[in-house]
Amino acid sequence: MLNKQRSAIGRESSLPAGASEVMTRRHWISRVGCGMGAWALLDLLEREGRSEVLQSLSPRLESPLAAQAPHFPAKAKSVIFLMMAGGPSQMETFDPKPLLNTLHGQRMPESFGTILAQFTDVTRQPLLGCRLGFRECGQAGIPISEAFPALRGQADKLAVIRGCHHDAFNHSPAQYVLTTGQSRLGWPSVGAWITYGLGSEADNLPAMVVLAESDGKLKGGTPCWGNGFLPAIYQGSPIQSQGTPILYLNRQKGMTPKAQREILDFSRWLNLRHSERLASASNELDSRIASYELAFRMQTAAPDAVDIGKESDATRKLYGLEDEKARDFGTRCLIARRLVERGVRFVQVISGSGDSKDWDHHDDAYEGTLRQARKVDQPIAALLQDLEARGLLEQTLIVWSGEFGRTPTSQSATGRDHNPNGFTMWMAGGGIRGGQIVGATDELGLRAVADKVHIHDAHATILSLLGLDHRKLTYLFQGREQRLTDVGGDNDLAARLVSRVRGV
Amino acid sequence: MGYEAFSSDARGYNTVADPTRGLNLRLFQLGCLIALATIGGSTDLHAEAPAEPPRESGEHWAFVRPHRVSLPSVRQIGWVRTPVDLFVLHQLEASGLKPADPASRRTFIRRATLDLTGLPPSPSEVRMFLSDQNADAAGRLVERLLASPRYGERWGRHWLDVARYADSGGFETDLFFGHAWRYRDYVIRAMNADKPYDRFIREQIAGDALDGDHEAILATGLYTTGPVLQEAGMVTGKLEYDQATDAVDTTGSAFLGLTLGCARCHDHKYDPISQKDYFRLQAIFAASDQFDIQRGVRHPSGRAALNSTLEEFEIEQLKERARREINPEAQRETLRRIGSYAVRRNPALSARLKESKRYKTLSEIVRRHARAAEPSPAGAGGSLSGQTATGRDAIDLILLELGKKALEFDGKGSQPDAAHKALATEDERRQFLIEHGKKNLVLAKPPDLVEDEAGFLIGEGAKQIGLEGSEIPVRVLGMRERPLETRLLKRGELDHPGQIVEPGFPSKLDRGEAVARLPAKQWRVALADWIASKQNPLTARVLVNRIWQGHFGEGLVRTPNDFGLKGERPTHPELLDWLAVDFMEEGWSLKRLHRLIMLSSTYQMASAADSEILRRDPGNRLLTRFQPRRLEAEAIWDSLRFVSGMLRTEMFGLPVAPQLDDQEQIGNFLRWPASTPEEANRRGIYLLVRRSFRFPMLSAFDLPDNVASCARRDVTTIPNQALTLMNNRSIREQAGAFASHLLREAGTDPELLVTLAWERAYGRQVTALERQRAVDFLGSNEAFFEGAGDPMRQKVEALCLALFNTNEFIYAE
Repeated sequence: MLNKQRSAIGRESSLPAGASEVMTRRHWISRVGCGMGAWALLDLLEREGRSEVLQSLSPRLESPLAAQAPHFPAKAKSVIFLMMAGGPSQMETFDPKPLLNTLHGQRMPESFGTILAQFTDVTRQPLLGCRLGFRECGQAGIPISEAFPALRGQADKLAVIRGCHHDAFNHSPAQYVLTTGQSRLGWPSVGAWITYGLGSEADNLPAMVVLAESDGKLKGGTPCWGNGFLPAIYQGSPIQSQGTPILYLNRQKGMTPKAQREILDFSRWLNLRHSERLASASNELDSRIASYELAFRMQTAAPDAVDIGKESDATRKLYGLEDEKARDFGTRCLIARRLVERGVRFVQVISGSGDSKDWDHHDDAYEGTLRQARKVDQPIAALLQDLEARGLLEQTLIVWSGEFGRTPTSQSATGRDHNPNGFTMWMAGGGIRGGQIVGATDELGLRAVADKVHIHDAHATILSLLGLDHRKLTYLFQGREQRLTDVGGDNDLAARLVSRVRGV
Repeated sequence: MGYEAFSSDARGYNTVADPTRGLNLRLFQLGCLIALATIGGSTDLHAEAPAEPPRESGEHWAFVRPHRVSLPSVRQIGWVRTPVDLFVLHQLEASGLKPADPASRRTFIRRATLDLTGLPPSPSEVRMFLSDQNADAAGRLVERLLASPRYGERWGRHWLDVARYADSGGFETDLFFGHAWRYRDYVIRAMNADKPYDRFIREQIAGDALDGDHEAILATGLYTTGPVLQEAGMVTGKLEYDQATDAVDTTGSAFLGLTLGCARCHDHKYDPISQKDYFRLQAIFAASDQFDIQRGVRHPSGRAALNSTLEEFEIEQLKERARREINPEAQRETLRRIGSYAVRRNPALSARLKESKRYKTLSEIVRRHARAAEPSPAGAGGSLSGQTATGRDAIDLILLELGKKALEFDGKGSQPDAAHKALATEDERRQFLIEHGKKNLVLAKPPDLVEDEAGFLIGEGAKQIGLEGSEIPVRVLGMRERPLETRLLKRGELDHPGQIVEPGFPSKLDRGEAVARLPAKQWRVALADWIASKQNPLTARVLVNRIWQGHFGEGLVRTPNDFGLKGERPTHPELLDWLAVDFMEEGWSLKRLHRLIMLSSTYQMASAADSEILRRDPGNRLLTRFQPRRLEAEAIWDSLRFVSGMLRTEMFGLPVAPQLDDQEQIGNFLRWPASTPEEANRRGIYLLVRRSFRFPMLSAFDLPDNVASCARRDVTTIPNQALTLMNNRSIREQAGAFASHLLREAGTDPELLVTLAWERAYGRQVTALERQRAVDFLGSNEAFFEGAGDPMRQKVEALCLALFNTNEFIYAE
């Protein structure tokens, strides 16, 4: 277990004197919640005929992943974060710019000033109009480009946030900003913070799961789902849809299940004797014993969670599994649903690794967007529909975003450069009122100008929807109570996003 | 109780005016004369104890210089072995608590060996220690361990945590540092040599400007191994600012235990460090830059090019492998690969090779067709590409093929290629190729034709092996011609420059040094002197605390990188000060400090504790017992290999990158320069540390992120650890090797085998009950692994796997 105090929202972990006398299994569980390890240990102790030690041990055995009460009533219980690595163009997706088409081929008017892009000087490059058609969709008339034909049918579920911005204009720092709030390395990812704040409700699965591209590559690498300075227990666990779902989950090659059980039983027997000898460390030692039982049960639970063979043909079709192009992302979206169903707190589904094959369209903003959207459109629409049909959409927050947007000016004739000064993110589910647009970029899509939403604000909003106050969710590191939102996050949109009243 | 005569004042220690001081001293010396003799240095440790300095009211303890405090009095003097014990026992007695019983000698040797070397003791080492009847057996053990080269690898790793060491810069490009290991090796050597800590500090901060040891410059690698956002180079001044920020933050954390970084954006909220103070420190580093020392050169030869040296690293890796390889076939292949790198990197050689290939290919085409054009016995014409062609057509086809091939050799972007591309019609292009073929019909044989390409490459590879030095330049800190201007940045943002700031130290801790008046090349030297000074209130305390933490899991100050106002106060302030003063007075020797600590009764306590103790001292803040703790990731890695007999103890050199499969590399964007399986059995400190990709096994066991100084690793319990130790294939290899070893030693006698297994894995005798269970385990009729294989061997392997998965194996107690 952790030696660290949970500084912000840690709960009382010691029992009042005498309370243990009436400790029963039910009491115990109601106290510690059903975090990872708790059940496993309980079973174990009972099997070992040591239920008497439960009374003395139980108060100390609270798992750091035990479910925690939020700061205030939550709208959402879990998050599916659809991370579009590479930086989708706002102009080709959710933020149409008629003026851009009018001025196509011309220099940007001087009044727009300049920004720092990665490769190009935006004051010298000609503007690039958008060739993709937009249509106002749903009752609310949310404009969505032809790149997302399926998502158009879900427009009334989306809250489109058009005024996002930050200042990191290269992939990996920007991916860190998107996932951790900081362009520097070493900071916990938003999923890690949430897991730290709320614990887990998944019994035999990791609290935070990452579903990356099958080649596993991402420009920002593992820090995009890392625990940073938070303890390692809060890090995201990559799960694969094929082969072994979790790293080292499968038994040694050729080892029979029975052999594994015997080995585990034997080491557990030794461990119990050892932990009796070392009462001064028994908290930590017992929790290690429990972690073996949990690991053992994950061997069944994790393959089951990713086994989409159990889904109906209709569901598989809905997620685009029959479509070669959409199959991969569709599979991961479907697994994401299965994971939140099982109580996983945070699922990060990644499209692209951040290079030109995916969302990073330096050469071809139209074809590139069409090509990449083709892979994710049907799966995302399916996810929204499916969660709704199962009554899970209200408690599951979906967030869609790239690490930045793109320039209105061109690069290589038909491409666009990086632009963190204005881009679009959307959210759905989690109590959000769909069919709204928040904020705006200027007439060319260069910068966020109205209702600007910094990534800190977006993070504050996500926390808020989960019942966490971003100012109170802190962790002491380097002499300071650190926050996901650092000193920002004042523009928390949650209240607006969930409001049933339009135009608030 | 006669010892009650040792009165002490309310704060718990004697003052200089205490008339019983002399008596106290004499009795104390009786108690620990032997120990002090072992430790070396003066036994007259406290004769000159000055009066407690007046403390300004409200002054934070850590900003006041530590003074030699008098030794406190205790009742149970027989427990005292080194001065450490007086302070600990005094506090225990004041709280009405008793120290735990001494640990068994078996426990002690395992604890001490793991602590000092990061490896468990071997069975023979245990036996030797148990049979050592000398009164100072413990002292002799500690001496042996301190003299072991393994000591530097263990404590060097602790320092590397503090130094946020890594072999790459992180972020998208994850700039590969082929030079970083030289700093790592410097640290290991410094630890083994017990380099005085003040010198160790000076060399790291200003090794390029110090006289004497020319290796000192390698120590500045501390500052050339930090995170690098390579793209920052696109914004003027950003790279330099990032580097200065990393330099100041690392210096503050590593040497001073201060969170200076907080003052970058605004005045420090808690500590008396203003934003201006912060930028004064940055100004010191603004006179410096990173430089590369090329092969064969002693001194920096140019500003460091921030290029990845991954390819150079792979070449060096191959060269090392070729030198070691004994299988001639494998060695030829390695040399060939080195040769191809060498040729690729040498324009003249690659041109020669290309010309030879061109000549051989084109003349082969001509030869082949010449043969084919000879009338066959059947009397038909020449056959080409499955078509029957005669006369003019046949020649054109030959020329066409030749032209195409020649164009391939000319390469994309060559003049003929451009001319070919510019042609509009298929017919024109065909005609062009035929003409091009004609030009290449008769070729002059290159004078230095390479006939045997493989042989040529092997030859070039062999030449590389013979060269002295490394392809990879050594990156060090050096001086700029002119210091960069440093401005205070509002909110720490580069685009909000404020006033110009002169170099200097934080005003609160400044003793009137006027750094700005020194020549710029002396600025870092001045910084080093200021930190490595007996006058600095933080330096020695911070280090002493780190060493203490390395032995007890927790420091005397439990926030080892924050000695500021927000940090915890010491649990034993007088002990911390006494050790800090002793450390400085006695030559800044880490090894002396280890002796003082390890030969104490405090360190030698057992870890068992009754419920009363656990209730009254739950966090062990009073040191009522020894707190067992889990080994760090590298120590687990090393222990597995040590016990299995697979550990390779070669020291130093290029980092090793154990092979990883695709799943293990999720998130890795760059090439992983895999080592051979044998190379991978080196100690954990030699494993490649990349900032944007964490080695999975170490990562599961709380490896720090290496971005900022890490003073204390987390100890978490996550199911990934269980999965790693059960199912990772390298664990299976180690279990297999351990099993082979046991079977070799014990034959098929299960009882003997079990006895040996316990000795090796745990350093203790197996209990009767354990032996019985283990023998039953080996005797079961279960098939453990599918497929063929000796069933006994399989079971022994399974037993080894079970032992690796016990808490006792990965805990020091």
